[in-house]
Amino acid sequence: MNLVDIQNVLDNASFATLGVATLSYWVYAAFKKPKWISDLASVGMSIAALTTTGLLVARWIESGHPFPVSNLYESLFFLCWCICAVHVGAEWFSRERLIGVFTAPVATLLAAFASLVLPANMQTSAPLVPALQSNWLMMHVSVMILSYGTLLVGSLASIAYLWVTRKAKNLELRGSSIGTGGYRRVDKAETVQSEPKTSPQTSYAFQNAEGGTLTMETEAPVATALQTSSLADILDNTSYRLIGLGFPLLTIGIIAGAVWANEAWGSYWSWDPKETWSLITWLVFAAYLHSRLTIGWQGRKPALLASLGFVVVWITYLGVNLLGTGLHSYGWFF
Amino acid sequence: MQRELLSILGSLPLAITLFLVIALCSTVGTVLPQQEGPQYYQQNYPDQGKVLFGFLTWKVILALGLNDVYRAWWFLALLILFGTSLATCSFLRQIPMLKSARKWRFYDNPKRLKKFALFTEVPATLEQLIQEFQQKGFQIHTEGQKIYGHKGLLGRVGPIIVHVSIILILLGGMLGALTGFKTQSMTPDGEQFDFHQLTSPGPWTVAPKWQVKVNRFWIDYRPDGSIKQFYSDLSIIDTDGKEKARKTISVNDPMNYDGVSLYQASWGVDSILFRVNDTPWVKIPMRPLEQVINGKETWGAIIPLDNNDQAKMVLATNGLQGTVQAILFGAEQPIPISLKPGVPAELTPSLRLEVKGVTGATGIQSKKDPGTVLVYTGFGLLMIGVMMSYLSHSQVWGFAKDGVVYFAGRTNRAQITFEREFMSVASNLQNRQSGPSDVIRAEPSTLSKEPRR
Repeated sequence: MNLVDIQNVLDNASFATLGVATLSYWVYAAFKKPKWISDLASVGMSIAALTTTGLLVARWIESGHPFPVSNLYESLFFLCWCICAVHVGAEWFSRERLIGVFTAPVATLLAAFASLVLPANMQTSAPLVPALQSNWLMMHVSVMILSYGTLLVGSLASIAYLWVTRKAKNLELRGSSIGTGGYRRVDKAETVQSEPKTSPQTSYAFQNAEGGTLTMETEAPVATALQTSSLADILDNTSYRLIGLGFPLLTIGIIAGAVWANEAWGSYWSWDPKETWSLITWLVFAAYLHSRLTIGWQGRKPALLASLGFVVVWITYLGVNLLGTGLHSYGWFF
Repeated sequence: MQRELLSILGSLPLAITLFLVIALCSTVGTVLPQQEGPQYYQQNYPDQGKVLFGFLTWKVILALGLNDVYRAWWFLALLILFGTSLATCSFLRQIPMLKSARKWRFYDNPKRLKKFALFTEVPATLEQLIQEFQQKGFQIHTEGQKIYGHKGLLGRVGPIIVHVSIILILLGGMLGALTGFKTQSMTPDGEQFDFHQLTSPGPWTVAPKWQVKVNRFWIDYRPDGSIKQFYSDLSIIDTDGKEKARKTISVNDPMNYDGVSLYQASWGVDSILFRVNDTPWVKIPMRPLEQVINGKETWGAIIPLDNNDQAKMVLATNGLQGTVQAILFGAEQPIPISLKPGVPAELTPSLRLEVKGVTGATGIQSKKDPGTVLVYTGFGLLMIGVMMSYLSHSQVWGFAKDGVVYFAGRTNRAQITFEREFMSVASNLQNRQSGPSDVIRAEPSTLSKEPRR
């Protein structure tokens, strides 16, 4: 079995595993049982992370490029890997499985697009054109795609948050960054507090909200005296931390691109469509991060901005290439 | 009045609005073709008949500067407003917030601490509480039986550095636009170019006096005919005609001299040396053709062979590899023939063609940008600042009274992580009290037996 065969197997395996994971997440979200199906979903995402890793490593060895991100196929699978890896991290961090309902289908679509839709001649690896023969390629492209992956999972957590809170009124979030979130809630929350709680995730505001029960087994009942985070709080903060991580990556990726462009073509910024859209992405997420500091803006408004960011990342990553102009128009490129 | 204006200028709603407005305006330039001539817009965006979106006519486009959005006065005004807002926000909000965050506060009143969402009380000593928080990386300050602990203060410094660095980048961009230049030249092998005519210099730009000589331009091809790399061997020639510096540049490897950078930007075919039968060698200038031959860019020339444009010969080539296609028109059928340098070929028994060589022209982009230092400094600071901004600034307060420690805390970003840390501190303290024998599944739940009233 040679490297190309291994790639073909891993590429189909990734797609199949992700498909199974997506269905499992959806079934569990719809029926809240059986428990094993939610475990299957999580395991599926981890396996997909491993198969895509194998695929990229095989491609790396085969092509001899500094890093396997030299054409659309490779970049799609690298993004797919990023989403799986960040998802696994986010699930571990949040102890929540709801995010998978949204991340798994996105990863599945990426794998499907790369392995089924993309014509065969665009899937094979090819030598680099002169403009891309630079060590900056690895630095710029890998960090950009890593940031896309992190930002996408972060904004999907916000979309999950919007889903969970779609029926809730008078939301008050703790994870807001203005500092007031650190203070104790009064009224409703205080009354709920006097009753013994079994699980903090399903405690007060979202007892009735569907989807709110899609939680991992929490370790044990928790003290009543501590006001801990609800499912919505957790999704909100997971989204904030992921976007907070993706934003520096995006910044570093854009700067790496700017420095590369300046060293190679003599201009660190030329308002090329891809550049412009990466700036737009940066501005939208900057708006998100600032909206979280704004009094009276906690909750759904930042989440809506993050959802806008979700769309903008896709335009930057794929949409701009449909225009087919500018520095990044190497056929159909990253 | 002035103070009100400043507080609006440094306010978050204005910042968010500016982010989104600049983002929205930036999209225009990616959808509408930029920097075309006025005729282009007159043709494609007519003001009669079918008007795009009902308002987008060429008059609107030119009046609003939508043909060159990123250099339109209102776009630059937005960027300046953005920079001003950043600076104001730093002085009015960020620095006071950092100052207040650096203050150590101590509380010994349970009522004060109960205002925090994360508050608990555990039978333990103050030393144990301090130890637990220190293990979580907190810096602890004590005052009698009261403690104040914090970590991640850099998370409050990061955003200030981010703001300063963006201001530096904006200033660097401005300096570059005012004092720099950028120009493209297409120069045939063996010739020189200078900087007498710059396309769009800044108001304070000083053009270099020296010239650049292209000693040689060549292309490395891969076996399959695709281009591997372009090279230009360049010399800097001063006003006295002396060579001051020399370097072979390629894509991704420019030359720097006297603050000017010379980049390999594009290329073309300049001319071929050609003769028919045994005439002297004639230099035939080549120009880019609109047709594409063999799926590649093509350069060519047309040589008329009579006065009424009936008989003519077309010479065409894909690059500098040497092979030239010659096609003779005028006979019943066009006669094509492939010419290799130095190998004469007979098109007809009486017509022998020969090519001596193909001369390339190198596209050199020259750039001077004195703002680059500022921009790069800004880039460096921005990367550091934005990474620092990921840190969450956490604060804890506590005091001991009658064998019980009361403590509370908050953080500004990593709410969940902090919550877990806080609960782990609480449960560890509880475990210490209950002794090692029954620690197996000690949880924070066991710590406050009586619900708060």
